[in-house]
Amino acid sequence: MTAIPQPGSAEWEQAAAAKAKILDYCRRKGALAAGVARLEDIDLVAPPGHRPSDILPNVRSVISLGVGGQTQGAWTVPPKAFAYFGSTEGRAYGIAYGCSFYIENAFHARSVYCPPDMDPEGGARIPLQSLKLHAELAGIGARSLAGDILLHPEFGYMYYASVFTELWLPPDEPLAENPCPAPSCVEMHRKTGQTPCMKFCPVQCLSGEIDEQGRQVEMRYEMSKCAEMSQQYEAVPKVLGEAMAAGDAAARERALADPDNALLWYKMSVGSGGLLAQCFECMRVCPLATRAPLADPIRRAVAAAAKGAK
Amino acid sequence: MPRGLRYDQLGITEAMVETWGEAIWAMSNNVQVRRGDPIRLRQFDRVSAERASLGMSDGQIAERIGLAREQVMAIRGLVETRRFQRRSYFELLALGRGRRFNAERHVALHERPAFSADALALREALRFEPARARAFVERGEWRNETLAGLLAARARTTPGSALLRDASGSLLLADTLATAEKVAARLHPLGVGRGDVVATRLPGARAFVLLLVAVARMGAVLLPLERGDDDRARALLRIGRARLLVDEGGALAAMPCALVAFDSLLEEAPALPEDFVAAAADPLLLLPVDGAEPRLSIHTHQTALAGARAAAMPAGLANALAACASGVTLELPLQGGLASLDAATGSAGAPGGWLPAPARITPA
Repeated sequence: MTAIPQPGSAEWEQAAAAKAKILDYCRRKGALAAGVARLEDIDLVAPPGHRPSDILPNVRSVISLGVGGQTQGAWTVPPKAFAYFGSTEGRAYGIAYGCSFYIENAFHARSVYCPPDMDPEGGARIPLQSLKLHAELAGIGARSLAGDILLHPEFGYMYYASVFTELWLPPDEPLAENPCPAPSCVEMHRKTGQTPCMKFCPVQCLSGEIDEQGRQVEMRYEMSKCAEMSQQYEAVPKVLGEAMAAGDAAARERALADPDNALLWYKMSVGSGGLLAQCFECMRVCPLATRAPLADPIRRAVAAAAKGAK
Repeated sequence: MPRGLRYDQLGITEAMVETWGEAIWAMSNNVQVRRGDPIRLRQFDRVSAERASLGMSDGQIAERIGLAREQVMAIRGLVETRRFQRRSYFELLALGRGRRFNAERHVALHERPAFSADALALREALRFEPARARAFVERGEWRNETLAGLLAARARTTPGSALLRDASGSLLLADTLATAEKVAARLHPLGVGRGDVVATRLPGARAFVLLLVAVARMGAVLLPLERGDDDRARALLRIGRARLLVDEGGALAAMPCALVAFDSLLEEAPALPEDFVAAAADPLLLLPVDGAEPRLSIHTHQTALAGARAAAMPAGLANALAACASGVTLELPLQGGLASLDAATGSAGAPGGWLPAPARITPA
């Protein structure tokens, strides 16, 4: 492997300039935040089989970018509507995909868009790579009490995507402070033992402790319960199993065609986003996700206008 | 079939799933416990030390417990599938428009009350010819109106108006609803659910009307029985699969259902669960049919209210329904006995066409 440039060296400066251009590309295309994760750190956390080099063998840098979540108005819609359009990860993937082309074109270094999908070997709950880990180590999000969903002090709740490249880029540091829990959440936890995300989770999959300084002591997350809410594609084999086990034609008809089940066929046939990540109830009540200074287009526009006025 | 391999190729048995399923589940990403903030703070030794609680990969679990990676994959996948509860997702559909999850009030969907087998049998017996049902709706004779809903709507506008007046005074709409709510709340712990049949031989009109409204409010069904012929009453209780007889005075011997006195239904009880509501097309009344053979006809809220308008049912009952539905006050002479309902003034109820032939329950 090529040696890592020394800080201050010409190679380092060249890499820093390339990084600035790459991150600028990401921001111009719509990313709110972008950074470079230290590859060695990723390898210390990600298990074998799930490291960047398991995708791109000669990877030298991992670029992570985040896009904003939905509009401010979206937080007010009922879950059944939010389920269809709440997630904005497609925008992040598009930027990452373009970024990999940009790097190859501008810097002639092999690059790939990191697939955000499940590992074909691991079933429905094991991703190929942890985009969360990349983003956290790239300094564009910190783990929250809401099942380790990353939150950003300025942008709140973002969707992340990653790019792997053979171009070496100077890495960023993780966030110096974790914005979760917000002061109001600390206060609520002191009074009730729960933060809003814990209290309003429809399957009660979250719990945790906060210390006297208002920092996270322990985050407990029953991902399996969360999956029942947010990974509806896992319901498909259940429905088929019920239909096959049905004792009579009427029961089989119900298993396949009652409204709850029939909707699965609709979602699958149109490739609906409503098949995954449908539940936003923890983020709906999160003061960071909904009220961080630049959390939504209205806040960003107001902030930009205020900045322009100065 | 992890990686295209069958379980017999991997040596997976149900005994292995039983032995290792829980351990694999606990070490996998399905349950995650993070202490502190070790990744952000780059405390990688701590990450390694707490790997099992943070969530391990199949390979890491395999190494920890001594199975092959593919065996862990297979067992984890099986356990995940078996434990996956589809019903959780549907809880989301109840949220929104200012309504958030509340653990203290929440009743899981699968724990919400179901219709009893008897109630379902009654509903199964309720059959109308589709074209006639549609015609009744199109002509406005069957409306989306329930007895309790009509009363509640009237109570919102004229809570001080009287539903009936008898020798003991006026029974106001607001008081009727409040008392009926209390009675319904007492009936529930006595085993009466939506669609269940409550029979009565109450002699007093006031109590009868209150019971009628209570039963209607909770989506149950009232079976009014006449006094006198105990054999016939017993037969009708059996045919109607009555859950409870609300009676006064001497109990019926060899009753096929439980007996309760009306006064005991006025005691305080926990509030009725919010699922207890009636739809207009739900059964409301089981009425004995004249004839040697004991038979019952079923009336829904729709047919009963249309029947009251059309005066196509016993006069006393029609008068009570009309009073509830249309705002007239029942003026009861004497002591307000049940028979006086037959002669109650103000019973109007504009003629509105004939009912469809009511569905019948016949002895099995």
